[in-house]
Amino acid sequence: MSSTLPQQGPIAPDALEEQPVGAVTRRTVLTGAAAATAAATVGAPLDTPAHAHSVDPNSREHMVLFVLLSSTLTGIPADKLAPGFRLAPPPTSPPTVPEPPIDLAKSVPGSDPVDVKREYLTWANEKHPSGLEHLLRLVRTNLNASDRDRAIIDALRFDDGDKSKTAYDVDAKYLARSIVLMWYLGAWYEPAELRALRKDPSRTPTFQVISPKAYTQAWALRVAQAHPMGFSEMQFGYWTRPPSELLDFM
Amino acid sequence: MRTKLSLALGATGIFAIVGLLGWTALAQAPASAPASLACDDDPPPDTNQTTDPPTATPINASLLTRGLPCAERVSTRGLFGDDGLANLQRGFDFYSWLTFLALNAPADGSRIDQAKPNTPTKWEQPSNFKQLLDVMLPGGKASKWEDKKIVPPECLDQYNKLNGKVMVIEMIEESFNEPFKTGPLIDQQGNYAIFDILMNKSMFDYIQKHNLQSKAGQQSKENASLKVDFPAGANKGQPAQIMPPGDPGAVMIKVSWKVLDRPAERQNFHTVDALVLMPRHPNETNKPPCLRKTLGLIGFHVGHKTVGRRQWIWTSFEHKKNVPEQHEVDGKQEQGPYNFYKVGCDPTPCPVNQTPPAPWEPTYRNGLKFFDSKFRSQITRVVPLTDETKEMNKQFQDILGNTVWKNYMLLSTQWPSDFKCAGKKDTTSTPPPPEPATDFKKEPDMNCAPAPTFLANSTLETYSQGTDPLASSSCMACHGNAVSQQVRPPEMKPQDFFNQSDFTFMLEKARD
Repeated sequence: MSSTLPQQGPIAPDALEEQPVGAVTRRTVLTGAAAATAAATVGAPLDTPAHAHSVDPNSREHMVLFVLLSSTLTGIPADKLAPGFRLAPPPTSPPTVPEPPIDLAKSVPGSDPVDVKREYLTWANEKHPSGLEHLLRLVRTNLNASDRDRAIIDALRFDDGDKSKTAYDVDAKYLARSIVLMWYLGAWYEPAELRALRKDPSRTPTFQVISPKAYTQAWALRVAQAHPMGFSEMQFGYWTRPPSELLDFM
Repeated sequence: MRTKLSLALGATGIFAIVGLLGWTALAQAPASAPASLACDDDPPPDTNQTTDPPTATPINASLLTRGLPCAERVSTRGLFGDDGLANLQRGFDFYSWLTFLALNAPADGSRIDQAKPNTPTKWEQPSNFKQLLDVMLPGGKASKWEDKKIVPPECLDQYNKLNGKVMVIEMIEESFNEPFKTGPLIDQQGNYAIFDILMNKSMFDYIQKHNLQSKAGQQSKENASLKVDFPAGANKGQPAQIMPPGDPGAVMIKVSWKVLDRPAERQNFHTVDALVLMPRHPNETNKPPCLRKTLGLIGFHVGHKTVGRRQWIWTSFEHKKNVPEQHEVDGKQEQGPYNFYKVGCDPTPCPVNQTPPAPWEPTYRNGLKFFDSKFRSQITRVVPLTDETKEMNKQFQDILGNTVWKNYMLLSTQWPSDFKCAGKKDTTSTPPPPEPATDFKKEPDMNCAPAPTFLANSTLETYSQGTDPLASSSCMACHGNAVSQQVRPPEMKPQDFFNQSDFTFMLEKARD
């Protein structure tokens, strides 16, 4: 919906940069989804211990990490998930080799009026604080990796029976899958539910729509060039026309 | 500012009665004074951008006379560091206060910080704004801006006795029933709240130019391909349409009034001496009463289209004693009395934010009193004002002296936060697609991410407050669905037809 914050020429000399709309394609979106799904298709006990919340949804750094994690898992650029998102220092042209390390404290997690990312981070943190902490730590560890997305995905792609992995690793893997579904469907599938589904594909999973806002922000519908039932911000009479181009939904 | 009309008592019913009463014989009011509301194309921004970091523009008496901004002047840089959204919101709120001060400045040119409660404002002058029904005339008749006001015959004697120094409000369903026909609002004295809609000369001229003041005109073959696109205001240096200097582009206003029967109340409101013509009722054989009332301003909406914000900028003010915020009620921190809330009344006899019992229409017999003499609306504000808005309100209220204007507060300003989205194809197409930039062929979501997502005035969107998508009040999400009466000719492809009315429901009010 919102791609960037607006700026006005003479009075906004350092206004936000707009990432080219073309950065998102159906291919990248779907590739991301497939990768995330593949990362969570093996089974293992999911036993999330109760931990004190160490992730703070109001922390700038934690939000930046969560948006980066979400972007990696979904395949959707971070500034599309979180309009206004930008890392510091900004990329240079031509790129600096090696790239300077990312400064989380100076990176901007984005600011948009919908701000569904905050709802999602809060939700995941309340549901599975230790798993989320694990995932954000994974992002932080790979923050400056040459291929951050690949590093994160590879860390989450393992068989549940892999003896080298801890229960936390397995929990985090299924939580990652829940986060993917949260962004794409605006609904929450418990990681344990997904694990059970892995064992019994005939099972009908239960889910919970996270909120009215989340219902309207599901990316799967945007990718399908559609809108949720009962909610549309398209112009009156849009149903008489062919669907707009995919990029119009980004 | 939703103004959807009930056609049950709308055009057809009204015309039947109007025909009997003989509109052609209506007397006309004296001509209005010359226009005096030129806009300022170099309005002050909320922050000084020459410093690093930016510093706040002092909110002092010098702002009281700056005039109506021709357009917003906002920046992603501001007092809130790299939070571009917060910086822009503050800029828009600052713009809204400048707009409010300019429109409510005394019509006689004196200072607003010295105004009396009943000092006429600039927007109340027919030379600056026309009431909707003075544009959408019976029979779809065209008119000129300079034309004299047509006073309904039921009010004429009183009007003449008062030498025309009185506001005339001809009630229709939108004058008492809230958007989506969600019901009337009844104050603590048992009176209906009254609503009125006005437009400025830019809107008027566009409507007349394209013959949109009549249904037949909208439905004409000539207008089949028209993409309704009201003029947009621009500041100095902004790319602008060819507009006369000082023309702010399209500005529309919706106000809400409280009947002030008790003289003691009148010192707390901006007031007008008004003749209120009751809604014409098809089942009544008598003429509708024309009631002389003192009305107090309780709500004030402004919609302003600018070159940078083709989805318009939506400003909402209201009287600070209308209602408490819900969290204040929860914490028993109300500071009454309120216009639409009784402190201490148990939710059982006073259910909160509920519509009144039916029937909702005022009756000739009861005048502006609700039929159920015991009923009072018990309203709270569901979405509280932000701390930043409260702080700005305090600063502006502090410079308004001891006038009634210090009793008004900005709720928020809604603006398209992704304002490029509707025009993004413009930058890649050669040649650029034609106006308007909000053409939904260019952008399926032409609202472009309203910020804040929801905005409701406790007197104008009372029953649609909240944060539920589509169900809760959003200026742009609602007005983005406004359409005209335009008709697609058989030879035109559906995808080429375009009957959106550029974020206003006013065109729905055209008669015949």
